[in-house]
Amino acid sequence: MTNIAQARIKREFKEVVKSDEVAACNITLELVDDKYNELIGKIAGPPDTPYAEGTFCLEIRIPETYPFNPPIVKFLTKIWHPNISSVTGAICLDILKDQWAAAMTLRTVLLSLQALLAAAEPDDPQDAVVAQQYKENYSIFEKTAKHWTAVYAGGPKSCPELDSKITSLKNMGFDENQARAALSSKGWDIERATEYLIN
Amino acid sequence: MAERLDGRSTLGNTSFPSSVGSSSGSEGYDHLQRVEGYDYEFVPPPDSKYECVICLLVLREPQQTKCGHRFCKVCIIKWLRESNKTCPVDNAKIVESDLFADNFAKREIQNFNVRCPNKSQGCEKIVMLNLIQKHIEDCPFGLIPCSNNCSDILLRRDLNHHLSSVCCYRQITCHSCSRRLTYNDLQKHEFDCPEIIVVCEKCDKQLLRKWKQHHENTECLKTVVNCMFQPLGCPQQMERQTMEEHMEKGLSDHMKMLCSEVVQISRCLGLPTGQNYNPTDNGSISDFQSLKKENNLRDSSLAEHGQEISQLNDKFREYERINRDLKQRVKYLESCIDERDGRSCNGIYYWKIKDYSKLRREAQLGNMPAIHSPPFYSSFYGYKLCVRVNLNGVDSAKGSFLSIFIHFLQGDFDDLLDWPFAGRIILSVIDQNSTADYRSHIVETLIAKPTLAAFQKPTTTRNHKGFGYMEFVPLHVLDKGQFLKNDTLIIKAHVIPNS
Repeated sequence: MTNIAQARIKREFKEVVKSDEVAACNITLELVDDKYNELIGKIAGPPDTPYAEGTFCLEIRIPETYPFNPPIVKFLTKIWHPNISSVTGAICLDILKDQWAAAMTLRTVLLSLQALLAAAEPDDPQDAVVAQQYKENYSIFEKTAKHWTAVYAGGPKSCPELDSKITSLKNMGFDENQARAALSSKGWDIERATEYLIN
Repeated sequence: MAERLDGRSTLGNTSFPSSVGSSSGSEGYDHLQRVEGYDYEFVPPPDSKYECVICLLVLREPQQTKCGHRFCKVCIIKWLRESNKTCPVDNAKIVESDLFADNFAKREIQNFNVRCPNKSQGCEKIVMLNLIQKHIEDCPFGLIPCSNNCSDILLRRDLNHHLSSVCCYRQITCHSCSRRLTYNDLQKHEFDCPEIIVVCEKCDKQLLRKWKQHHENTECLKTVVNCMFQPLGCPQQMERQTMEEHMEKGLSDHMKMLCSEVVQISRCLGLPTGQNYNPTDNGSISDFQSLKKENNLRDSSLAEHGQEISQLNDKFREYERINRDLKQRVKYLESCIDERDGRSCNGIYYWKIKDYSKLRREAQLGNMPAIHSPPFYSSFYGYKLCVRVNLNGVDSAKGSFLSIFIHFLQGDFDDLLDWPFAGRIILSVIDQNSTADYRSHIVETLIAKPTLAAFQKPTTTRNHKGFGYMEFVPLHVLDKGQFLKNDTLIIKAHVIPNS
C-alpha cells in the first residue's frame, strides 16, 4: 500500500475512534492487522427499521490508490436488503463506485451504509429477489429482514412461525442456512422452498 | 517565497527516513514529488478550513478551486488526473487549470505553531511551521543512526557519548599493549595480545603472553621434556624439575650410551679403537701437544706484533699532525716575507712569473684564466696593491693579447692614506735581452681616475674592480722577443702616488 493511503487510514481510524457515533455505539472500526489495508467496520441497524438492534459487520479493504479510489466494502453479516446481496454481501451504493470523492472517509462510508439500511433503493437493486419482494410484498420483506437480523445480526427474536418452518425443512435434512434462504426467496412457502432446494 | 518540501521526513519522525520514503510510484506521479499536507501536531489545532480533505493533513501549497474548496497542490492534482474531474467535496466540474494557489492561507499556515515530532523522545519545542524543518535537522532528540554504522539508533544528543563510550566500533586502547583497536575487536585481541598476563597451565606462574613460549621451552619446571640424552637413545621424558634426579639415577645408563656413541664416531673417523687403543703410546697425541705449544708461541708473537703496529700507528699520526702544523707555519712565514718584500720595494715591484708556458696553457684551457702577483706597497706605509695578468687575454682580447691590471688591496695603513688613489702607475713587461742596449721594454703609464671604483679604498681584501690594459701586448710579440727567458716573464709595476 502506498504511504499516502496508509497514512490517511491511520488518521481516519483515529477520527472514527473518537467520534460521537462510536460513543453512541452506532459505528465502530477495527484493524485486522497493523498494515492498515484491511479493516472490519460495524454498524448498528437503524431504529424503526427491520434491522434495528442488529449489528452488521463489514469487510473493508483499502486499495493502494486510496483515497483517490473508494474502499472495497462488503457485508460479512448476512442481511436481507434490496441493495445488498443476500448471498455474497456485495453492496450496490453509488459512493462506493462512480460517485466516490476523495473528501469521503471511512466514517462517512459507514454512515452512508447505515443510511442505506434505513432507506433502500429497490429500483437500483443488488439482489433482484429481495428487491422484488420489497416492492411486491413489503410485509413479507419486513418479516424476513427482521428474521435475518435476529439470526445473523443479534437482533430481537421476532416470529416463531418462521423458525418452525425452518426447523421442519431442517428435519427433512436440509442445511439451516440454505433452508432459510430458500424460504425467504419463496415467501416462506414450504412447498416451493422444498422444490427449490431439491432442484 | 519558496516552500520547503519537508513533508517526507515529517510523516513519522519516530521512524527513519528510509522507512518513510517508500513510494510505489506506479501511478506515474513521481514528478509531482508525492508530498501531502503537514503531518505535525499543530498547537493549537488549526481550524478544519486549513485541512486538506484528501490527505486529512494541514494544507501544503494550498490550491483553491473555483467552487471555493482548498486542497494540497499534490493531492488535488492527483485527484483530478485519476478521477472524473470533479471537486472531491461538492462534485462540481473542475479542471486543473481552474486551480489557483491560495497564498493567503499558505502564509497563515506557515505562521502556525507546531510541536516538534520528537516529543515522544523528550523534545518540548514548539516552533513556527516555517522553522520546524531547521529545528528537526538539529533537534537533540531526533533519532539518528550511529555515524560509525554500528546499527544502533540513538538520540542526536547522545551521539557523542555513544561514540566515546558505547559504540561497538569505537576506538579504544588496549591497556596491555597500547594498540588502538575497535571495541568489537578487543575481545578477540585479548586472546592474542602479546603484553597481556597469562598463567602457565603447567606451573601456574603468571607471565606476559609473549614470554610464555620461551618459558615453556626453557624455564617451566613442570613442562615435560625429553632427557638430554634422548639423541643418544634415552627414552625418558620427565618434568624439567626432575631432570637432575634422572641424570643422577641414570648416570650409568647414560655413560653406556655415550661410550657406544664415542666408539662409533671413532670408527667413522678411522681412529684405532678397542683394546689396542692406548692413548699414551700414540704419536698423534704428542704431535698434537707440540702443535699446541707452537700455536701458543705464534699466538703470543702475533699479539706482540699487533701491539707494535698500533704503537707505530700512533707515532705516525703524531708526525702527521706536526707536519701539518709546520706546513701552516711555513705558509704564514712565506706570506710574511712576501709582505715584507712588497713593503720594501718602495713602489717599484718586479714580478717574476715562472713556468710561463705551463701557466699560459692553463689559461688557454680556462683552468686558471688569471694569476695575481704577491702584494706590494707604494711605500713602506703606502698603498697596497697587486698585479693581475691574464696570460691568454680576457674578453675581446682573449687568445691574442696579454692583459695586465692593477688591483688595490686592503692594507694595514689605509686609514692614513688619501682616497681615492691619485697618481700614476707605470706598467712594464721587461725585455730580458742579455745585452742591455738591445733591451726595449714595453711600457704603459696609467693615470688614476678618481671616479673609478678600482681606485676607491678597498672594502674587501682585494678590490675586485681592477684597472689596466686588456690589450697590453700581443701574445705573438712576447713569443718572438726576449721577454721570456728560462720560461719566465717579468712584469714591473711602478706606483707613483701624487704626494
